[in-house]
Amino acid sequence: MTAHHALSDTIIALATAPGDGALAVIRLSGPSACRIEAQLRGMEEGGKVPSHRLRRVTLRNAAGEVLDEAMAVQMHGPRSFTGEDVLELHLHGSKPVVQAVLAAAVACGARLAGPGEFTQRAFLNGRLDLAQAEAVGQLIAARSEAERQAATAQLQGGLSGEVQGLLDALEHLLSRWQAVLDFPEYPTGDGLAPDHPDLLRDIQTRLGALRARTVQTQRRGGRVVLAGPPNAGKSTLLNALVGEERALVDAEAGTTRDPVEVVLDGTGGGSWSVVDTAGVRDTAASALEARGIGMSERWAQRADVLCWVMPVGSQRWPRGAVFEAAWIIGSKADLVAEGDRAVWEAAVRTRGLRLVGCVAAAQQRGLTKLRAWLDSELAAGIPAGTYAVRQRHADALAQAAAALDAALQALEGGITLDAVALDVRAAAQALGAILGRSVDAAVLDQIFAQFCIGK
Amino acid sequence: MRFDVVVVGAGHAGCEAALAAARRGAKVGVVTLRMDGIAQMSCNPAIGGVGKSHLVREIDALGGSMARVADATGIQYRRLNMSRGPAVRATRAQADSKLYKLAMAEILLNQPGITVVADEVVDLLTDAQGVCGVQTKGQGALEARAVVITTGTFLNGLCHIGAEQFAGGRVGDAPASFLSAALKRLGMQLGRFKTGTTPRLDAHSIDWDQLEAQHGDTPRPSFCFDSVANDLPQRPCYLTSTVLATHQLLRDNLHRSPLYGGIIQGLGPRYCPSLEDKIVRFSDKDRHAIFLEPEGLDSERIYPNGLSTSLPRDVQDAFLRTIPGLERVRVLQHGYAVEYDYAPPTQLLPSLMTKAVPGLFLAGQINGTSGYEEAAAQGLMAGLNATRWLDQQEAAVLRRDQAYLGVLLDDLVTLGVDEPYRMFTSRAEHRLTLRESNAEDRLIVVGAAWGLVSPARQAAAQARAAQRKELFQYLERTPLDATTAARMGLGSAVGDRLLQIAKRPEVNLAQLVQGHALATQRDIVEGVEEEVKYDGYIQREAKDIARLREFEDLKLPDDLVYRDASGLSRELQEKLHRVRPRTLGQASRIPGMTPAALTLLRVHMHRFRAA
Repeated sequence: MTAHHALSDTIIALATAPGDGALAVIRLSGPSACRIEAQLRGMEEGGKVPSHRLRRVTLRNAAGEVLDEAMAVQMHGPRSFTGEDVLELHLHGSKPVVQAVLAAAVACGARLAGPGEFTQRAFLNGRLDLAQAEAVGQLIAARSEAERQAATAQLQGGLSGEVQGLLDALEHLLSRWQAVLDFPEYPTGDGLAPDHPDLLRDIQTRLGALRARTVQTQRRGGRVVLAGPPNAGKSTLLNALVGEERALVDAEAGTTRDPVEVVLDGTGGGSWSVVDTAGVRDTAASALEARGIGMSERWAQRADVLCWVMPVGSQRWPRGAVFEAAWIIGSKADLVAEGDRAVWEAAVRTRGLRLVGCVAAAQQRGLTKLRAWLDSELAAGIPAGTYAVRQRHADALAQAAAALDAALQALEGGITLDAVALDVRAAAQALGAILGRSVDAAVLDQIFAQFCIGK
Repeated sequence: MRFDVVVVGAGHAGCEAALAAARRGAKVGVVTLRMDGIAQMSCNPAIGGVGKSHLVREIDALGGSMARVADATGIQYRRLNMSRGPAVRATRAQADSKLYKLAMAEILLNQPGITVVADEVVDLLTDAQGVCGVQTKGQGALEARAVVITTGTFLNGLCHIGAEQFAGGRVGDAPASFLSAALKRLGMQLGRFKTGTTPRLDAHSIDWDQLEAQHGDTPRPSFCFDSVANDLPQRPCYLTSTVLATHQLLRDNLHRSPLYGGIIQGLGPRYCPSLEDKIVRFSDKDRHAIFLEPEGLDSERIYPNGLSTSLPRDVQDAFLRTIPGLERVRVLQHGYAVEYDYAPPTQLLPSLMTKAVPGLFLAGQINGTSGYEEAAAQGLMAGLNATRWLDQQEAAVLRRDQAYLGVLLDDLVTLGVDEPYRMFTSRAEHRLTLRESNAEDRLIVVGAAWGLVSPARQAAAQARAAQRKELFQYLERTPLDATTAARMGLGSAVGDRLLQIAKRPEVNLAQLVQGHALATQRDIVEGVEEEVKYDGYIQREAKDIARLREFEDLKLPDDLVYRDASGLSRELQEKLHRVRPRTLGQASRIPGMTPAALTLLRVHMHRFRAA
């Protein structure tokens, strides 16, 4: 059966585009929105606070770990854009923070919204007029088509094959069991064979290994960190790579204080993030800037690809073990003569540093080559056999794993086959949803192919 | 003659349809070709089995008669799957088919409001408002504003035995050919299915001594929640099997089979293959089991379960005699295949009323199902809804989480059928909630509200519910005493509440509460035990159900136009137009429906309402 969205639960989504910059807004809508805020703040109870007021909150996960210092605003229905209780969380815009808060909220009972679902709720609650509603249909259709295409693209290659293999194994077990459950009068075997618990454990192990490989890819994310001296053109380069004004750019040195993370579409099918950092210099102009510099170093340590951006011809070389390992990118190449650039490139090599090349980001020069190099560097960082998966697929794999755990626990606890089969069916259905395949029909086909049933 | 409801056919669907309508006070005319054809078991003389007995118990809880008649006329009862869990525990009975027919006929004829007419319907009468009656051969027009057609395999029935063909819905009975034409004229599409039956053997020609007997259970299980008197002697079935010589004979004569000779066009059910099919598809098997089932106490007819065939008579005679115990067998009636018209059920509303003709209902095998139980279940709902339609009441529809009956009707009208439809427990997504044991709990109140259940019956159900509650509360408050602990080897649990102990899979509740007044009431103990042991699963299903209920409760307007639903693919628009789902939940089960499409549908519905 098609999984579908309940109508009165609480939905959640990132409201700003992924990689939008310094700020990320997560939005929740539904009856539990306010309760979820309280839970994220580690409160046992509580919920509604005065509506439409921006407050400073500390968000934690279930283990009590601080996820972010954020701003929150509740907008109680019907005075909200969906007509329901709405909670907005304004977070620091890094992908790991956003992911962690999304995950924590989902653990509190929120559900990731489907395409156009916020707009849909707004419409259903009478917050949109008919003309606006006309557009809603188009929007949902377009987004779901885009999502479907993205999901299909992702499934090509090894992942769908591995999921298929697991599903086949589960369907085989189910058909043996269901045959005896539904047709005990006919020669349908014993149902649960002595080797079935081991087969199930084997499937559990394989699924666990598959999930580990997908989760790992998601967490790695392929982070590129752009570091370098102040006013070296890091933000300009970032903006050029992203194609839009994302990072705050200012001629005054030390403009960028908070790391900015954006998501780029790599040719490898995954998504890469680029972090612009505050400039590194020996004396920080303010305490705030000093904090920014410390953060730059921490980001640098977490980079998959660390780049040191410095104007061509300048002598502001990286210092310290962390930054000396960086790749060098010469920026503002348009400001120096061809000959001077060659001299500078030689100086880079003489110092034992690794040179990527030179760019003139404002003029869009050297960017294609840089992007290609980034893609290949990042692709090299992903171990063979791992898969980048969408949230929806990751959720389905998690559901399948949970159902399998339940099945094994039931089996070991001496629960009857009818109930164990329900858990295994749930696992198979979760995998079937990834591949768009109907499990029940497949199992029936197998039953009739394997067993001679009938009067 | 003028009636409120006319039911065409008096098989398992027709009987329940007429009874349900009449119990609600309608004046009902039942037209049957032959008075002695009422509730005939055209195939094997058995009621129930997994999934099917669930339906029988639900029919009982909704005031229907199948369970009662099966309890009164059974000559062997067994429970199936006792060790495999509460969702799949089931009851199966061998009935004395003659007594079964008599008992059902008696109920039908004694029901106030029912008139049984022996005649043949030759046409359906319609006017601008919809159906207005049927035309019969002998008695002319029978007027009615609601007509339920339950003609089973009789629509353009064509029987095959080898190359031999004869028109008929069943051996010895004429087909109903006019009705097919009438339905087509009214805009209904018809498809073609096939099914088959086994030869019937003369009991006196079987060498019983060399066969293994299979006896029923004692004490005798039952379908009906009330206890029904049955003093009939109980009879065993006997086991034998095909041998290699049988298979060789069949293989040598496959070319003479109408199935393999290409004569039969209709599609047969996979769960009811003919012996020819079994030999071809499972060529590695050197034997196929056969159960010899008595058709009745004083009947000489034996039904050999497992031997459905449409091979020529001489081949049937020859292969039967290769089977141990049947060396000198005499065939009373040869096996045959029957092809028949059915009306693809996506042409029906969830009430089983046709979308094409207001007031016209279809129930049973005509809807592409197979089995007495599936037929009876549809008959009951069609009879009920025919009267509700006359009273201008909303259609009575059971949800999938309420009953197998709900699963059955929803599957039929939403998905349609591509082979004769039979109920399996795997068709229900919440099968631990839809147990045999709690059918009465699930449905008695609904049945009473629909006017199908007598006050006395409802009171009996309440008394049983109170007993279960009493036993449950006893478990809740009572600690395990040392004597019981010693008796059951539960020494370490002394002082724990019985409820906690009863949850353990290995603990038998009847033994645990030995001495309690209710301990010997099997149904009560079984019901409580299932609820205690499977509480976690049942709660989980309850959560799922609550989530899905939002969709099930969201009704789509009857006049919603799908063809201009923006964003939906042309294909989905067409499917929605054809199925015309009653609720958003039903729409979600249409093949090809995605969450996004469902969202679009909701938006479309609101726009439609606002416009």
